[in-house]
Amino acid sequence: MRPMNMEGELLKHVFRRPVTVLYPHEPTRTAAGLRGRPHIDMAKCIGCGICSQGCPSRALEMEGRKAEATLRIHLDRCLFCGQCQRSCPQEAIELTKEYELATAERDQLVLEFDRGRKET
Amino acid sequence: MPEQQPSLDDSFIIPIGPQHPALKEFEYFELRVDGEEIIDVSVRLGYNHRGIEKAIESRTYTQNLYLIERICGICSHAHTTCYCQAIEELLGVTIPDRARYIRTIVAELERIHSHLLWLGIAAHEIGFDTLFMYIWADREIVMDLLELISGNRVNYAMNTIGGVTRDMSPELLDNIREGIAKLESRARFYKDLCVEEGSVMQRVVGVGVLQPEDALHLCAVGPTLRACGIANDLRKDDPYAAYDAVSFNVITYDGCDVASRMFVRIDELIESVRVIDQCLHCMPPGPHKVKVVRKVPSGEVVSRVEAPRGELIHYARSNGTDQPERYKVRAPTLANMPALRKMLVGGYIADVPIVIAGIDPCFGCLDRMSLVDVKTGRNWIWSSDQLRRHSLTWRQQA
Amino acid sequence: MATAGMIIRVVILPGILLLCVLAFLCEWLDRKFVARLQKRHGPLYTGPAGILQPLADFVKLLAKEDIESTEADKPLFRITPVLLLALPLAGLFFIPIATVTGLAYFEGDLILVLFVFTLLVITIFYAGWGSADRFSIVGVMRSTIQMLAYEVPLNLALIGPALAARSLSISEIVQWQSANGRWLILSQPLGFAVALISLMSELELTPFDIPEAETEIVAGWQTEFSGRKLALIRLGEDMDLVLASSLLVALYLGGPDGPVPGLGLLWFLIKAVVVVFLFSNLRAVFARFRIDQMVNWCWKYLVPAAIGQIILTELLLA
Repeated sequence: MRPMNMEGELLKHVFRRPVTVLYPHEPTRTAAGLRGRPHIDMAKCIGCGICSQGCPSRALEMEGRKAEATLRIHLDRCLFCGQCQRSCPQEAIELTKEYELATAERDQLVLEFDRGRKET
Repeated sequence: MPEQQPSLDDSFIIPIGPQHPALKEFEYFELRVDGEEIIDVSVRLGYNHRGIEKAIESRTYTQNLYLIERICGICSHAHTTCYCQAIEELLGVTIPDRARYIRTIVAELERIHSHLLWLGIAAHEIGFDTLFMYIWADREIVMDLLELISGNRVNYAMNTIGGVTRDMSPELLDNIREGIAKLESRARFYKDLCVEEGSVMQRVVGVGVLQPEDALHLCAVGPTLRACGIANDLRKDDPYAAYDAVSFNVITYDGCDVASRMFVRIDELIESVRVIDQCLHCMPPGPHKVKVVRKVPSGEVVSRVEAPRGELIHYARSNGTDQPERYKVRAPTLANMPALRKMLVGGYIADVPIVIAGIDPCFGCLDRMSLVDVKTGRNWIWSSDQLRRHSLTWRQQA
Repeated sequence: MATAGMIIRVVILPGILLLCVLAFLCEWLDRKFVARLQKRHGPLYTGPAGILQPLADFVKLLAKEDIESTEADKPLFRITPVLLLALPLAGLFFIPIATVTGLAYFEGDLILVLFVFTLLVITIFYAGWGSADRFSIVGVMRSTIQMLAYEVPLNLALIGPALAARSLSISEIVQWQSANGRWLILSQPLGFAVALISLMSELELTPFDIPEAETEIVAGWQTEFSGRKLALIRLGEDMDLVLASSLLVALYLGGPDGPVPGLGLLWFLIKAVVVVFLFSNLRAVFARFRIDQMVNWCWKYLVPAAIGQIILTELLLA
């Protein structure tokens, strides 16, 4: 038995940088395939509704059908699971790397994707 | 389990729970003590019940993937693997080989993650906060690897019915090799440290003893069972995913106490590194999933996997639609509960946190509802119709 | 005029105000050093390098709701936090911090300071007992048993310097060390180690934080205290840390004695910081003992070591 076994390791770290990341003053490490905010390319969307039916938490809503369809994503319900990205036959949905999505107002958490206009 | 009537002697009761710093989730252990020694334990479960089995019945099979993933934060991949295996069997599909290997790699990485997390929590429970901080700093390595593979640090969404959702690129395989080499050296360092550190060993050796006959009689599973010298591991007894193609050892220790459980988990961590190495080496090329139909033909299936905590059982019944008719989950922690009760009696209050932590409890997986008649000790489970009828009559009477 | 000077000395320097500043400083040092050992930052944002964090915690606790359960024994519950702050302060008046003598001194004040430690444990017992809470009762039982284990080696070890200096007054021991130009730690290292470990047990630092084991009995005897009472208890704990390190500095490290005379407070601070670092380092590197293991270990190892030190000292003096 060697008591105070960890002492060497401890003293080694006193003068090194701590492992804590001082977020938000320092950026965190993120991976390339991070599942963040969903983005829909409306040029490719055909309004089939497969994404909306398959969403586990009913976060994706489709209003209208086919060419006039408007899509709405409720970020407070979204699990960022990526099922919409996988089930879209036109590969129009992509989960970007944006993860800093907190807002102060609840209604800012709804993303609207409309044909003709840019997303709001 | 049947709850004993409190006896009318004047022994002192210490409530561990439902909220307690020793427990990471809520359950209630009522300790009857005499000084520091525990005379009796009364366990009450059910504080974490979320109605998941009922919720599964009203979602499609694809939507259920994500619900089942969230039964537990640490064993999430084990739950989805079990689910996907069950549904794939009902559908009669075979998943591609590459998918089997990717499932195995993620499962073993999750086992490493779970055991590292457990080691940190065990250190915290015996008051060794420094070791806890160091281990959890190393846990970042495996969480970063899982983020590279799946896009998220927990709840990986890697499994889908018919295979896995993402493929692995060659440089990802190199990253994994680097990461697990580092993890293996850190695991060995922690094992040597724990063995040599007197204050740690005296808190875990001889504590929470469970004899092998009791372990078998009370149906303990996982590292709790393997620490009593019994070599039961579902990856060897009933191989699934790619476990029949890799070679590894089933780790057992003979001590039957918390120290043995600690060493079983650290050694399993090192074994997982070897399994991942072999999988990376012989990963076959090919597709990573196959397409499946939406409606699952009628049938019943039982599926088992070796989660980090022990044997996990899922039962599914389908009726030809795209939603399951009935789904049942038996988590390994529930199987370890009677054994836990046996381990606590006769110990000290100071041992309670480390003994409870010793079975690696995951109360989130644990709670499924069952009813107990306190007077007769009979217990049974209601079907959803009975529950609905009871709630309607209760509502009308109120 | 003498009274005005005395009031300034008692209240400000080196009196209560200085001691409170020292208490917060020691807590900050302890937290920062332990954090660095654990690869963390420690307090960071309140004040430069987080130095105002203990003060911020104290002020925050003062502003919080003070809940008293109906079952609690009101007089005990209310008086004990005040006593837990007042007793270490009283003990600190006898220890030379900035001047060669304490604020007060008499032959035998070492025994008084040792008695303050015992009184502290008795006050803790009343605090937990008056809380009328299961976890508190278990905590104070453990605290009392712990006292039975560390009290004897502590007293034995601290008699060593008194034997060497032939006096039971802390101020005289300090003066003896500066007169002889030799610190007592050099001739009684074993006694220093025993005193250090026993004081860790008195301060309830890991591995001896058994009475307040967070994972076992929530917060032990402190469970029911909140708001102002908890603020006083925490300040009392920091003051206890200052008392323990000051006692060790005075008895073994020469007190406010240093190469340049006149800067007594500065030398004292440097030595006290070293002792606090020793406490913090030992606190970070062990797991918690169980109460039966702790009593066993103390009686098997600490008491013989203390007795051995006394025998050695006597042989050296003879």
